Amino acid sequence: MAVKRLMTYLYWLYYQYKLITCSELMVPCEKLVFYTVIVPMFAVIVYTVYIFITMQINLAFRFFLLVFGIHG
Amino acid sequence: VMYFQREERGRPGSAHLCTEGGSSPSGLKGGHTASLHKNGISNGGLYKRPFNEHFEQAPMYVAVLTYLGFGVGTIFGYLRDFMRACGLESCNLAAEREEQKDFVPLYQDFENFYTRNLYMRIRDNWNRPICSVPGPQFDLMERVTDDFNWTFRFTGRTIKDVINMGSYNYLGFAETDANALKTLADVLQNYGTGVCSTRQEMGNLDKHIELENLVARFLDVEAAMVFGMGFATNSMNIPSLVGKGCLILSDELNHTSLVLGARLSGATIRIFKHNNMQSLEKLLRDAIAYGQPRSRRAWKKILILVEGIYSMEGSIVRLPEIVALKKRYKAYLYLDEAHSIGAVGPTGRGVVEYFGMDPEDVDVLMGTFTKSFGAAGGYIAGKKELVDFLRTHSHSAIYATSMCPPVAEQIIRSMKCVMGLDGTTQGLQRVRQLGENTRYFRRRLHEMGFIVYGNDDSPVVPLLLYMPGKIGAFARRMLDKNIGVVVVGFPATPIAESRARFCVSAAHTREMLDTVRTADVLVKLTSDARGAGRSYKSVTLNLNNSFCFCFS
Repeated sequence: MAVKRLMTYLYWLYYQYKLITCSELMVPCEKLVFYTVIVPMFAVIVYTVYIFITMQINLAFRFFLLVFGIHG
Repeated sequence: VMYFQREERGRPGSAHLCTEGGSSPSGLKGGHTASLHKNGISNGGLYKRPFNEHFEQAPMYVAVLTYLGFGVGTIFGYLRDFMRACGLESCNLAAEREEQKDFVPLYQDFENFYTRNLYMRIRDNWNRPICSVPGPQFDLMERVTDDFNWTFRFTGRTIKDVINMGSYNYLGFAETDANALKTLADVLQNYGTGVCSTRQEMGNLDKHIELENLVARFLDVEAAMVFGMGFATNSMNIPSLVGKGCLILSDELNHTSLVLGARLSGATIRIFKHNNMQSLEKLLRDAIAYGQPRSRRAWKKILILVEGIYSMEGSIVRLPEIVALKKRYKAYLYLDEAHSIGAVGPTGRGVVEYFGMDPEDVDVLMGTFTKSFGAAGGYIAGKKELVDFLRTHSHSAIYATSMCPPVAEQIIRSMKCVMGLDGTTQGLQRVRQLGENTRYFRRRLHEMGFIVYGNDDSPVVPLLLYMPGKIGAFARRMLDKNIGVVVVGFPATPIAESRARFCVSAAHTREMLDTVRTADVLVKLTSDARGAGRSYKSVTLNLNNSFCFCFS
């Protein structure tokens, strides 16, 4: 019963995703382009940003530690 | 605004209402209700009954996702245009012949961008052919498309008994009951269908005189005049009432017929925010203080154009405040009751009766017979001098063919039914049923948590969908469940506020309304069901708050 509700919820989420990105409205060749080009491109951008931001925060944190380390 | 508040000092409730009311639905300021029960004053003030309007704003993520959807659509639009230009894809659009390619182009490519790339994908939800009377249920012809909505073909089957939530059939007079249409059959036998002349030549029938007297009696005014077409009533009569040197103050969301009439007249047009009395008052004060733009002379006439119920928003005009303003600043009022005549008011006499006001306060009462009376045509009513003037000076009277007799008889019989002159209480029952259906449907939708715009008493119920992907999906899924709805998107509405517009009818039974309401497609599609709405008095977010929330 709980599994059924979970499956329904997941299907609902997937349907929302399809609606929001207008995937239902696309002709097959557009869907092909969307799922092979745009979505991986977007995922790569998100991953890069994630790595970049954490690296910068890490560097900034170490910098401030160095600065306050001298004073303290 | 200060002067207005001081004037109404004797009635503190109205002053408070004037400052509280009137928020623009598409503006960034949070929409809020202007309900009297907040002040605790119910019998004083301009409003004799609570005036509850809702224009809730959706949360930030909804706007972001909407623009994301449009962004994806635009990117793919450019991609498809590129493929069409390259020749990778066949072009189904209109194009010039090869020999004409060097001439001045006939077709502007970019202007149709939206039509080509976004509208075409969901085009199957509009222009659906109906093959029965548009009563509470109707039959549709089934049509399919083989090439993604560029062309359609009919399979030959009909989809039977689709619940009709889109027709303007407020009192349910779109019917085929032979008993009800008996007088029509007689008139058809006697007069035929064609009039073949204009009103001023040989097209003035005794049916028209009878109808005009009845309309004047219905609205409790001195005289009325009827025209064959509702759109033409507005667009052809406003030019005869105002001209150069006059000022028209028109609501932001007025219908195209009013806008066209105003533009054709040649008068100066100024727009005030939707249902916003402060904006209107500011314009009136500026007009009277500064006069015409260069010569600084006084305006010959100031005409305020408003509608009774706005069909895209479902909001009702703030008539008591407008009449108070008009009396103070000596302007004229033109009220277009296309959707409200027959649909609001205790006995169906429109917004004037709904607010308990005197019809003499409104200078020009205009309405149409298309919505509540199941016929076609429009009327203008008011003082006898006004109507006599229009009989001689209106373009529609001079050049347009007059109303055909069976249609006039349909209006006569439905109006007599509403007034109770046919000896039954059926008319009053219909008006009451419509009010009950409206309130029930709206209340239930609110309880389910949807964002529904408009006044609690208006039978036009716009349910906000926001995202472009949902427009097509909603209409298609509802049709699969045998419910026919009208969905509207850009450019009829603001780009981020597409909606599904339900028109409640007196002929709907409670079972039909429940079927529509519980169609699980509603819950499936609108994710805002639990998020945005939440409760009757919903939380509204300002843009500033939302940004802080996103980045904190």
